[in-house]
Amino acid sequence: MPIRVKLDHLMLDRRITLTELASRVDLTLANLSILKTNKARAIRFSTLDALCRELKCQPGDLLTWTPDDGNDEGS
Amino acid sequence: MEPMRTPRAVATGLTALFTVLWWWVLIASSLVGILMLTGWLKVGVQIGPNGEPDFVAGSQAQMVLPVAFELEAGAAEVRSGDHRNSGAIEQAGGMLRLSAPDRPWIAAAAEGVVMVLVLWILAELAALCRSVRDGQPFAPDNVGRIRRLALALALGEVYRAGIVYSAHAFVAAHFAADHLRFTASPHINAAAIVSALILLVLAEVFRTGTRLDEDQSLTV
Repeated sequence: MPIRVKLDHLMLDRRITLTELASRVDLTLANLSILKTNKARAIRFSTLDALCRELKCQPGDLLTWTPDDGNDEGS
Repeated sequence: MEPMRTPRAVATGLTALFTVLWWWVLIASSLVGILMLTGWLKVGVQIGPNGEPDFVAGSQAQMVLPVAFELEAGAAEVRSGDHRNSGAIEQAGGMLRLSAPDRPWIAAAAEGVVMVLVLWILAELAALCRSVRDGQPFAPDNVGRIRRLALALALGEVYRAGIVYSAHAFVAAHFAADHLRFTASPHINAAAIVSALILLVLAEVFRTGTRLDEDQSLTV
């Protein structure tokens, strides 16, 4: 997946733990972990909204696009 | 109001049914095989007109083979009750009951393959129903299971047609009768092949369903 989530960088900058962030954005730790480890296939606007609100950032600060090597299955 | 049966209840019942059938076929065919090998029981293998296997034990143990034949012109004339319509049977099929079992091992081996195919299909069906019962109908393994079911169905039909054709050809080569001529021509049941194709389409639907299910579970 060429879209990557920079959640770990933002969490480090904001000095917030995954558990604390999960409780603030009302997500399970497992789901937030999926997002943090770039295993997510999609992200809801409501989740993006909550993350931007709690981390005080823009969606562009959370997501980054990197060129793929071409062997991605379109997932 | 009658309580509504859930899909899981149906799947649970079907899982039990296929599992019981699987064991029944395994035990019955193994028992027949052991009885034949030890010579405890005289077993006759019968192949039905559509290639279906049957084992007959005891004094009725005779070999029965499917046959197809053409009748001589005028040998079997047919007319309606009011005599308005008439015709003649030209081609017919039936069963040839031999006076004694002849080469029963060949027939038994041929039917053993059918048993393996039946066990394979029952095992795949039971596994499919088990995944539905467990609430995971879109498990990635199910795509392969449905594809294997399609393959087993197609292979089974080709094999059945081959067995029936072989029996027809054997009888045509070794037996003769008055007023009829034994024939042999391959006949593949199109319905079975179409069923296999439908299963392949279903497998593709399940493949898409599996991907959507994964997308759904990985949407945060």
